[in-house]
Amino acid sequence: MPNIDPKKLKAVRKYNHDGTFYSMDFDANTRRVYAGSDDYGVYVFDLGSKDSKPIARWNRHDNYVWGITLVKKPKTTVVSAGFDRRLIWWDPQTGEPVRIIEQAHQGWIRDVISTSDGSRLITVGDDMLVKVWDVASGKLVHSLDGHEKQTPQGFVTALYSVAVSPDGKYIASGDRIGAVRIWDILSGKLLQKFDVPVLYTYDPRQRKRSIGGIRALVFSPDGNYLAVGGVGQIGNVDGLGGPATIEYWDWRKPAKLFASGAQGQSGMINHLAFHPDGTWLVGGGTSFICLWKMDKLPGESDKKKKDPVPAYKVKANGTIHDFAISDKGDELYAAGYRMLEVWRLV
Amino acid sequence: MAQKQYCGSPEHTLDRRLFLQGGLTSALGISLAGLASPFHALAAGDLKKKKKQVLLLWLAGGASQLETFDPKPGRPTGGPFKAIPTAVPGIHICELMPKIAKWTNKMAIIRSLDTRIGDHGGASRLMLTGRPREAEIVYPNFGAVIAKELAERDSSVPEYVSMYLATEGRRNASPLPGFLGGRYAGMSLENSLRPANIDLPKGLSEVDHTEREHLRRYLSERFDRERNASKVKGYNSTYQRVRGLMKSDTLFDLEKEPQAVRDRYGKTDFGQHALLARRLIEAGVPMVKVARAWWDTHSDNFESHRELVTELDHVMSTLLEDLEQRGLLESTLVITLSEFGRTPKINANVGRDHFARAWSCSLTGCGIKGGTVFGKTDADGNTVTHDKVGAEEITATIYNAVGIRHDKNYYIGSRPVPLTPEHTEPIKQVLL
Repeated sequence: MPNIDPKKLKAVRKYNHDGTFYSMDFDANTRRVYAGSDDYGVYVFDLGSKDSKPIARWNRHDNYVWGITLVKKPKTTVVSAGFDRRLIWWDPQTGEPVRIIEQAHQGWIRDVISTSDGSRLITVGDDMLVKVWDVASGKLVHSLDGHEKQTPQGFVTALYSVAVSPDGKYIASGDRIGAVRIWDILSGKLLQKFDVPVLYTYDPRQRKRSIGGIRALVFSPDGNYLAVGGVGQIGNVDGLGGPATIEYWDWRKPAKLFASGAQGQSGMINHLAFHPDGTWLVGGGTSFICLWKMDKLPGESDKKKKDPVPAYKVKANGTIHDFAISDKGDELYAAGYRMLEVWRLV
Repeated sequence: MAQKQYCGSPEHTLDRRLFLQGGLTSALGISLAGLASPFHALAAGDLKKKKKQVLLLWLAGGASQLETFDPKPGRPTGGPFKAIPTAVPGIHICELMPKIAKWTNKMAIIRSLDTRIGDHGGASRLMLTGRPREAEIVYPNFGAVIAKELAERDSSVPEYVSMYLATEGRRNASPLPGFLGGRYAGMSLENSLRPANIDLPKGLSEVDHTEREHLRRYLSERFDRERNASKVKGYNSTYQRVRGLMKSDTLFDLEKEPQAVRDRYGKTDFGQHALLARRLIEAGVPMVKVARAWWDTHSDNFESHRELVTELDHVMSTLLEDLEQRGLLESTLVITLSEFGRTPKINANVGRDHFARAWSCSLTGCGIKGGTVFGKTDADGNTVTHDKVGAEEITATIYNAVGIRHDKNYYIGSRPVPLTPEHTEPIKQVLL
């Protein structure tokens, strides 16, 4: 595994897009990227090709494609989820859907992930449910109900993010008002809950509306900790002028271990992932990529700093909504506003 | 002496002194009709027969037409929300408004506003006065004109109440009377739903207050008889209006509503403000404005519109239903209006910016031909393709819907000032 040198982080290739990619995943075997767009398409890019155009566009969604995951075992399958409430299994060779579940949620589907053993899919939607699906059969295994259906002020809310632990035992889900729930994937039991209220801003006086939510979640490689991301408290909810923010939690206690900004960066963190070497947490969002060195937890005196762990930020060429890191750890593939980009990490 | 105010904002306060000054406006060269005099509340049945009223839902900050009344699903500009059918075949609105969709048979949707001004202050003034700014004349808000024209003699309630409890954009939408003078300034509720300074001074009992009023009236009337002082009549009516206002305290008290009714409107501030608006309409207030701020969604537009339009859908549909059940919708014009709409283009922060070239509003109830859509925009919503209208036409249409001639003149001294700019025509296609 090559060592990351944050100073060498660099965009090396850009694929232009007329719309916005909100979701993506990467297949290391074929060097293909699958990206979900606001024009309802799932686009396939061959990064091994010199051609900067997508090699295919799959057309079975009827709204924004907000989630994509690559199921790697027993055979490679692409699963996409959309605001059309559909969950679609795709054969990556033919581009044909092999299964479509209509009304997988009663509301927009906000995220889809798969367990590393390829047995389970997990989705979250605006019905505020976490759903566990059997990948092979497409059957619903659990429907987990543990998030509030309204904000404290009486508005609609949303369930934005879901993560699964590397061993496939635990699910974490995060919603608009900053509530995190941890579930046992086997039994469907609610194991833990805690709140990250800093990620939800409600302005009760000036503008009387809200912004924010937990937009990114990831378990640590050992499964013991959970990184939670979004935007911190915002003065003017018309924009995203609050600090890009993560909190790092020991979810079993539960206890917040530290909170961090992104070197003064303002905006939303839309996605978090651990680098395969296990020591770097990577975040992408409002025109930035940030890396936090996580090989050791900060001491008590460091926790009070804005960046309690070493952090490195680079400006991106547009808002990043999703990204994946190559299995080798040498590249990052970012999808977002009008683009797909390849970044060198070493 | 510190000024006593009905609201906390010094730039547009309405206090008793201003009320009293309003009684003198006729002496200042401005012709005013309808100075209210004796204060006896009309029975609700009489109100239903006689009054026409206006309830403005002011969507401050600029609601997106694409996420409300002019959806463009499937287009690059359309965003993720679909269009849904409504009670009127062929009329589709955004899926965030399933409850409002049931009311389109009583609603006219105007999709062809091209008002050009894209800053909050200028655009708010334009839409609320119905005409471009002029250096020489300070025009009144159309709410003040409606208050003046629709005010009933013998009414004990305020003529124009404006609720704006958020702070952002509030100054832009003050219920200003312009050249009509303080007599027609709206009562602003800004810090609380209860008007300030309507309590009796500490130590003064209701009996003492009534006796003082009797004495003041006796002396005034004797003065008038002996001196034939016509202005005294104006003072009397103004004092009576103040007295009526003080007695209307319970009108603003939502605790008087059954909990079930409060729940029906929802727990959000906007819901409760709409309920108060219904109480005011029922009590006979001719002009009520409820501001719902703040729709300026430069970032995260779709998440914010999920929040705001879902609320609007619930609150407005509840309001329309409540008004209809009480027999008031036929005589009440309910308006949704912003200072502008939002850009079809979705920006890098998933936001929509200010856009005044092709946007929408709605008119429901009194005087409106329901089931109407007027005007059309292109496939992406970038331009008006049919029946372009501006603030003048909207205001003229509002006036006509409640029986006010839009070409009526007011006079500043001897100078005639028409309610709307010359040659303005109302949108006849949406009027009964």
